[in-house]
Amino acid sequence: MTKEELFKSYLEDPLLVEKNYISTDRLTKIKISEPSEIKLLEVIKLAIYGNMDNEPETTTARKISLALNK
Amino acid sequence: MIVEKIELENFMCYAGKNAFEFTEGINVIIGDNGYGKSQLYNAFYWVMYDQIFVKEADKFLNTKSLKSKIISDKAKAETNHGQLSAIVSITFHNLERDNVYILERKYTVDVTDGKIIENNDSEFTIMERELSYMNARLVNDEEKKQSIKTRILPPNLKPYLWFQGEQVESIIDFNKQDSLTQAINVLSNISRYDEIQNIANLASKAANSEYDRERRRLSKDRDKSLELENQKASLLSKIELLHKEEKELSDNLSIAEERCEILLNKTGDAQKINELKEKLKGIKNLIEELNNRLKEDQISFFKKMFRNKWLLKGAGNIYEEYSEKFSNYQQKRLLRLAEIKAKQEIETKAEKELQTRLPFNVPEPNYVQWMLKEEKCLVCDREAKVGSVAWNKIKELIERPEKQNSKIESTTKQNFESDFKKLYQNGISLSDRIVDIDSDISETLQDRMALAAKIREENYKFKKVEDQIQALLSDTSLTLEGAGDILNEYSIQNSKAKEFSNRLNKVIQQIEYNKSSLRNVNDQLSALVTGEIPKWLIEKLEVLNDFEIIAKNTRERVFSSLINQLEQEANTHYEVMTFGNKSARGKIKLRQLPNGNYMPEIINSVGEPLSGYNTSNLILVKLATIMAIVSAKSSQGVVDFYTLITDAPTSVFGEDYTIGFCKTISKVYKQSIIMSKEFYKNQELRNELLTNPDIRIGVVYMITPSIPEKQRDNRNTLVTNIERLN
Repeated sequence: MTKEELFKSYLEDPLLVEKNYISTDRLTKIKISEPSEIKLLEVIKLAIYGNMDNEPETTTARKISLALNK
Repeated sequence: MIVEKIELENFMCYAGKNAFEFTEGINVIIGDNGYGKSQLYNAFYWVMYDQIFVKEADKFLNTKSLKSKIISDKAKAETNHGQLSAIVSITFHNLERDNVYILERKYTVDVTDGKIIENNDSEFTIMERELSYMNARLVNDEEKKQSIKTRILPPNLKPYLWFQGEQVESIIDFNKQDSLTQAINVLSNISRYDEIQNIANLASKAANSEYDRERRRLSKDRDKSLELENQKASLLSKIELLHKEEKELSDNLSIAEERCEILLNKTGDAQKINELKEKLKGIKNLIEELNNRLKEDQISFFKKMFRNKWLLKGAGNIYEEYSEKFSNYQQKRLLRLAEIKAKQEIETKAEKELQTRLPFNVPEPNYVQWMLKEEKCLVCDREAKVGSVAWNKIKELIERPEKQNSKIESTTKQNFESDFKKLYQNGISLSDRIVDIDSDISETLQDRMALAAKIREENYKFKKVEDQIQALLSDTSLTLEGAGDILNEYSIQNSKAKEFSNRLNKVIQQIEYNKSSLRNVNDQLSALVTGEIPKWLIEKLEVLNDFEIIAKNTRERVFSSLINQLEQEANTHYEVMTFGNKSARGKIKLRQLPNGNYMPEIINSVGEPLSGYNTSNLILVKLATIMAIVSAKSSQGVVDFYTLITDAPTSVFGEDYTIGFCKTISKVYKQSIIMSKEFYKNQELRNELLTNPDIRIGVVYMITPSIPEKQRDNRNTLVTNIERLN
């Protein structure tokens, strides 16, 4: 399973649209390799990259936390 | 990664140099029991894991334990001096990188004057060769060697890719509820979703702590905040404990429900067994009764000799003859009597006539005596000298009455008339019986034969019911005694399940109540804040809480979709595998348990669990499920990279399913190597294997030993002949 496939599976969650993180139209075009400027999506990407690179979970969680500071 | 070749030199029964080459598709090694199939499987296993499955020990043993037993007996017998080795090498072709790995294991002994000096260990080497280059290089780094082995066969995939027939049942152990979930985890990427969910939980937890710290810092009433935070901590701790209890109860509920399910399935079987037991008891009683009747009949048969006068069988002619003789006797006797009577009548008449001159008994006997004495007739007054006619006539007067009587008696010498009559009369009374004796005996014999036939019939029924019970017992793994306890155990497990379910509902309610209290405490804590919590922190908290929700939901959605996909795939494989057997029925359903695990079961067309399916069905369900997991991942490379190697996988479910199994295997796995005896015994099956267009056939070999298994007292000449069939 590729990072892109993994990412797409998270994009299927209706909460993203319900809570106005992203529009349905944009959702279909979004790619893991392209910055989205949507914080939740960037968090998901960080988690996927960390996991695929076999990074310890705590390290990835810390990176995510830092990325959302200010 | 596909297996291109395996070469065996003096390994077990493979004396000398031997090689099997394989291609993509299903490669089959055909041979009967004891022909060397399992040793070929062992050769693969030995190279990879330095272990060999020893049937007698029923476990895998390593080189240290087996030592020179690994080497062919023929090679040992023929070597008097020098070194002797058993060598197996496997060539794996990595299609992706277009390189080749040659894994080789070698065990060497020293031989001096025929005496073997054993070593403890084998040597393991890996050669790596880029196909574009001719030269192969030896891999020396142990870590790299391990990494290559892991790439060839990842340890977590091993149980699903390399297995023996006997192991099929344990791959998915229906008694271990999470075994299917584990298999799904291993063969799918679901574990990635679990890991990402863990990351989300950690990140969300950290953000919540950060937010709480900031809220405390900005509180207008620090003491109150502290108190509320303590309450919050207590509530969180309670919720955590309740979640643990919830999990425990879910697990217990799953176990009880699963147990109920298994028991419910067995209940049908147990009921059947009990019914059959009752039937058997009835037949046994009937047989006993019939045997008693037969014994009584036997005794009665002898008694009838006398009671029903069977002794007189065939005496009808004798009676008729006797009757005739008796009749003649009677007639003669009557005739004689009539004659005597007539004579008497004549005599009486004559006497009467004579009486006119000399009345009967006149003169008185004393006068007659006197006349005889005086030799003179007083009637006529004439002389009657002794001995003269006159004297004799006078004497006759005295003797006449005696003579008359003696004449009557003299009609027969002995008078048996009354005896003869009795015999005759007896004969009359028996004559009717004598006529019926034959039919009476015939009827009795017919009754006996019918009785004996009935006993035979009941004995046959008894045997049939016994066989049915045995078949049921072996299919259901029940014991005769255990079948009786199933219903009780089902009732116990059912009440346990109800109890766990009630407790679980209560715990869920408590969790909700505490969460509501927690929200309330959080609201109170927020109300105490003076000033503003930084927007970025609020946003961070919200984003990470949503990430936590999305991570959880996505994992559930992906898993659920995987389960649906698996169910469909499993049913496709199940249908193909059971095509050859019309008795197979039902559909596979992956049922979710209360604790989230899944269990495969067979359901009918209306979705109800089927009971009474046999061991073959269960194994096929397991195989279909494993293959479904593998084939569901085919697009992600699992099956493209790994070869299925299995020894006698079909031995546990019979020939009817063999072709279906091969079709499925060739569809699911890019390459498979299977050892089978079914194709050895059944020529028709072998032809179908080689010609069926639905089977992606690779290379098919037939192996035969030089000495049959039963004649291997001396294995010193044993070799295994390998014949390629296509």
